[in-house]
Amino acid sequence: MAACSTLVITIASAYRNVRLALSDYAGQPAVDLWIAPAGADNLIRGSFVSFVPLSDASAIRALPGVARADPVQEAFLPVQQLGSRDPGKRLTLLTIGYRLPDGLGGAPAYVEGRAPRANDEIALDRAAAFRLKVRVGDTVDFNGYPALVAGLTSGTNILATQFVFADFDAVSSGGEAVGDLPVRRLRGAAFVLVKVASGADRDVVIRSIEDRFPHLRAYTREQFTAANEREISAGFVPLLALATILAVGAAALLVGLLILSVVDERRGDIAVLLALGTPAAAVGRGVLVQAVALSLQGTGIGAFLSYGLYLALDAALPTIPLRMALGDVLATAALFTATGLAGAIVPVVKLNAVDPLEAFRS
Amino acid sequence: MMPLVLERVSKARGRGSRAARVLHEVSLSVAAGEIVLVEGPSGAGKTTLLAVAGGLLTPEEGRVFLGGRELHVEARALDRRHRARAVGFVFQRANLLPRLTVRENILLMGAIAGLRSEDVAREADDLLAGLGLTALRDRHPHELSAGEEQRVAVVRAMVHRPSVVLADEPTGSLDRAAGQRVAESLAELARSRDSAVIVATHDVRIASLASRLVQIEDGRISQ
Repeated sequence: MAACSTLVITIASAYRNVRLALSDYAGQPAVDLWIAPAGADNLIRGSFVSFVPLSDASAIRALPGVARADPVQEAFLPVQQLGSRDPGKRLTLLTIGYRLPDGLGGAPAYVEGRAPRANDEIALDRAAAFRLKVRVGDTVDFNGYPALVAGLTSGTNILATQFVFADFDAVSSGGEAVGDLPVRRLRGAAFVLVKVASGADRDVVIRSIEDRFPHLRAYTREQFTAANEREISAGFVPLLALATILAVGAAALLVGLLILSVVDERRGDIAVLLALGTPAAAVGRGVLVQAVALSLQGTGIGAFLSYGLYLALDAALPTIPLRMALGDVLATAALFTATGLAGAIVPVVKLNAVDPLEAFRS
Repeated sequence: MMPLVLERVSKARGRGSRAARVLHEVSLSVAAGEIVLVEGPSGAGKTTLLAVAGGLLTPEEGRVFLGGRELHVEARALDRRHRARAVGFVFQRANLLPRLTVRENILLMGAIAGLRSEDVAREADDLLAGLGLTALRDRHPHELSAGEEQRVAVVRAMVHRPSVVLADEPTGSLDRAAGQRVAESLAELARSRDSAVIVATHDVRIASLASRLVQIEDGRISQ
């Protein structure tokens, strides 16, 4: 039971982390609107094919009610230790390029160091730094060029990959040429991030952007965050659901067998209780209470183990990020309580077969 | 009013052509404070008689009056509630619940009978003191001798002041001395509380404590 609830809480915590990593970035309060080509309403399904022309970014900046409009680039780029030629040690990371040093779209939080200030500096997610075995102040090979690791970010690990923050132009310019092969250069921006002027109506700004640029869509921070959460849920929730179903099934079976063995073992005592005049329903309730207590104990131990796992992973293996929440633990407790009750149905039905006359024979 | 009356009670085991009569038109009345010893060989119907008298089995024929109320004519839940208050059982083995202490085992009977816990606690302490068992009150059954366990079972059967006590071979698994003490305890408490008692037994050594001896053979009784 404890192992099953640990599994469910841990997967839920991993899911929560990935969801919050995207929503922390997409929902950063400095950004009011995310402008993207139609259909690209989140970072995962981002605009890797179609782009916002940079001229549009300048034109958006000039619209009334817009305080700032900064382009952001998004690409999967390789990062490895400087001088390493081993492709197995190269990480392909979700790279965000923004206008250094203080453009919109930078990392939401730093655990160490600072934000990059020049185009030969980057900020790495701390789990990526752990995987690359680099620290703040080290120089890495970033997309074929040397770059100083200026800072380590947190809340930017989406399990399958991690974020890198770099200069917009460095990300757009493509990689180091390999022989005579042409290098793909990104012409435009994946998104334009807008800060609405103080006192301006956000909806009016959205309408003016979409009227002026019909090929673009303007999403509020909340819409864009929700779209990111929806996208990550689509991939994660089936896995979480499958693991939960398996864990719940195993737990129900376990509780059922355990309670069944208790009923068998204490059959004589149950017969005595019935003979003395205890209502069968009260004995059934006792069995259900035992099942619930067993489930809650299991969930409690599971929560404790999950928390230990969370601390251990955070300290020793940050590549597997978890964000534990009391809500997840309580939901798991509720789920496993229901599971315990379901598992106790067969033993409770079996109570009907206990004859009070067995008290005379035991 | 007789606490226990059985009128021409018949009970069969099995159904249809396989049915076998275990009790044949048994009639028996037990007065308050009376101790009736039912003696007979194994399979004679002693335990079935107790089960019918205690409302655990429903006879096919005849009527059972327990504590002045006829059983099996009202809802089963009402019968169960009534017999929980009106009957005390002593089994061949003490059948105390192993996870409860002596005192908790006794108090449980009061709870089943629906009595106030303060009253039951006072009664339990008095009974334990009366039988010299106070020192055992916080012990668990596995810490007691078989004789001590059975005397605690007698207290459990009496704590709710039932009008009828039914004992099935209460000394059957005890040595002579322990059996004698259990029988004396049962008789002493039953008389002091005016309970009607039926003791089903093979043990003729305790016959001296009985008010009346009843023989049972092939489901028929002779008095």
